[in-house]
Amino acid sequence: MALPFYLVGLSHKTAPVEVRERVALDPAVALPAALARLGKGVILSTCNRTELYGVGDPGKARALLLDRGVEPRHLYLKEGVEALRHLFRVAAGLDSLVVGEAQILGQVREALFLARKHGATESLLEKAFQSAIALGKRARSETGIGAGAVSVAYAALDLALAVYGDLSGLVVAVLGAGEMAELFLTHLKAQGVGRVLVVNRTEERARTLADRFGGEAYPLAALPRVLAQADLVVASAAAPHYLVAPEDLPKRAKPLFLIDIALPRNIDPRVGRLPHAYLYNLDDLERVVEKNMAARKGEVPKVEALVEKALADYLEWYAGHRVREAIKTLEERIFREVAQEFPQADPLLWHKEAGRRVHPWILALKVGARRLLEGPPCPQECPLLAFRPPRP
Amino acid sequence: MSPANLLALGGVVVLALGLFWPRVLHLGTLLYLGAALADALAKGVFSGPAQPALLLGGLLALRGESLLQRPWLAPLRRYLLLLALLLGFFALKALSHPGGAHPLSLSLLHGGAFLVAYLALAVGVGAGVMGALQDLRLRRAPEKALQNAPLWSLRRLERGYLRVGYLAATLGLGSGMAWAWGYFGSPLTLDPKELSAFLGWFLLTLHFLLEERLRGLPRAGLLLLAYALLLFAFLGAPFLGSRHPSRLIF
Repeated sequence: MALPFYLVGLSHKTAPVEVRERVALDPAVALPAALARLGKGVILSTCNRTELYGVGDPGKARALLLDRGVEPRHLYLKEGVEALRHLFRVAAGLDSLVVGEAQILGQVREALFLARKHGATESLLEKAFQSAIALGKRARSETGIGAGAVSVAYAALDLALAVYGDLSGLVVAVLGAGEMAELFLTHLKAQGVGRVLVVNRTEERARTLADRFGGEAYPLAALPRVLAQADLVVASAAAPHYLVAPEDLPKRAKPLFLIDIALPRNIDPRVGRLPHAYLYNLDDLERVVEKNMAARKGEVPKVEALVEKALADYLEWYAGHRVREAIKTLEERIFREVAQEFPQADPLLWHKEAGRRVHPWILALKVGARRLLEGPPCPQECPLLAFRPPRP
Repeated sequence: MSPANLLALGGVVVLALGLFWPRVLHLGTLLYLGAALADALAKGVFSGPAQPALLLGGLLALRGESLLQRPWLAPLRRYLLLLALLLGFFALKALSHPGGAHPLSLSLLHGGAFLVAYLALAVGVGAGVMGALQDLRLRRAPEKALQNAPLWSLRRLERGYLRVGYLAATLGLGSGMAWAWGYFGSPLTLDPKELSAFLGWFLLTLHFLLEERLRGLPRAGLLLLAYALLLFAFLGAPFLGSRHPSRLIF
């Protein structure tokens, strides 16, 4: 009997963003309603994928997605081992837009918690998701699939850490008050940087950004004064010429870390030749990102091997699970038949009676068990048959 | 085999194990210090090069152990442990030496100053070389710098330790020269030990003078050469035989 596990869904590989956003299920309202309609199942809904996992017939899940206006060509249906392999690959980050990204593991965990909360899991699903989460953790701790920054902002942060080790208390100067400056400041603030000095041609805009991060605003004329205090400089101002030249930077013992993400550039490249200055532009950052991406891709075979191992472990567990289920069914049948013969008795007292004398129940149990074991133990195909010795 | 030899041998074995199981480093340090004490009781304080070698090795191992809290400095820790092992092997060789009859005050001042110098320079040079390489990576291949010890942490280690080491080496060298001048009428002779110590000190001086201009591999090379010469004065030159008027082997 095949693994009755299925998956119906769509992802960034099969559907454009307009379709994905239409199907995305809001965890507060839409997702519980979908779970209620699905009966037993787990729904993984992120910005890149909406996938419905369940056991048995995938018809309901497919109908649920089609009802949300998805065309069948955007959907994929996987069953049995293939569905399970897909879940494991998703949790390990192999199926993500950015290979090895970390958020997906938390999203898989959330999906399981939500299904549990609404009583929508059952043993096969529960075990599959638990195995997927364990595999995701293992993949990230035992391989380099999640190592290294894969965005320009994080690459800059990693480089700053390679220079300073600890960014807490450092003074950050930001040239320009645009979105990129804000993004970098958000990351740097999360690392505990100290003072934030925002320099912009329009002081009002500088003040708005500075206020958001508890910093100080300066006009462009104050740039040399700001540079004299800064440990980290992020340049993203729209200017037709260089704003920072080597002559503007005073001699210092401490390193000065500069990121120039403006186009055209704000910092004269000669600054990078100063003994204490470490200057990086967008090309440098993208090179770091590319190297990290390549390194992650090199780790994929190792993670694939972990996926196959987890799959084998799951199938081994599943074989045992089927046997346990079959034994349980048998016990229930015997129990039912014996209880039918002695409806007035309390089955909970069997073991007490058995200690004193041969109770008619015990005899009935023996006779019943013999009779049941003569034929096939289960109405359908049963794994117990595989463990019976061949008949002569 | 004397108790000092036994203890030193045990220390070497334990420190070698400490490369893989850092928890035993304390024990290795204790065995080194125990060996130095046993030798001092048998022959007198700093009577030969084995005692400072054991003391230095023990303290280096202890410094290496303290770096366990900073995993990104693991290469520095391994380097300090290997240096401690080298000193242990040297001590095993030197323990059989009967020891010279130096004045105690000179032994303590000259030997003590060089002991501090070797200890501080071992850490300072290690951090300096790692820092110079990290500087090179950050400038030429920043993607390779991400997995290594942060530049500023290394620079801070390097500066503090090199300064202390340089001052102690200057004191050790000066006191040795003054003693030699008083006894033999010349502060410096064509003795490999004296010349290598002096050259090592000179290169360190050059490093401080050119600190602003030197970067990358030349900086790392200069530091390594300076330390190698000083180490040679301690561990290598004695085996070449003395050309010193005192005729002391060590």
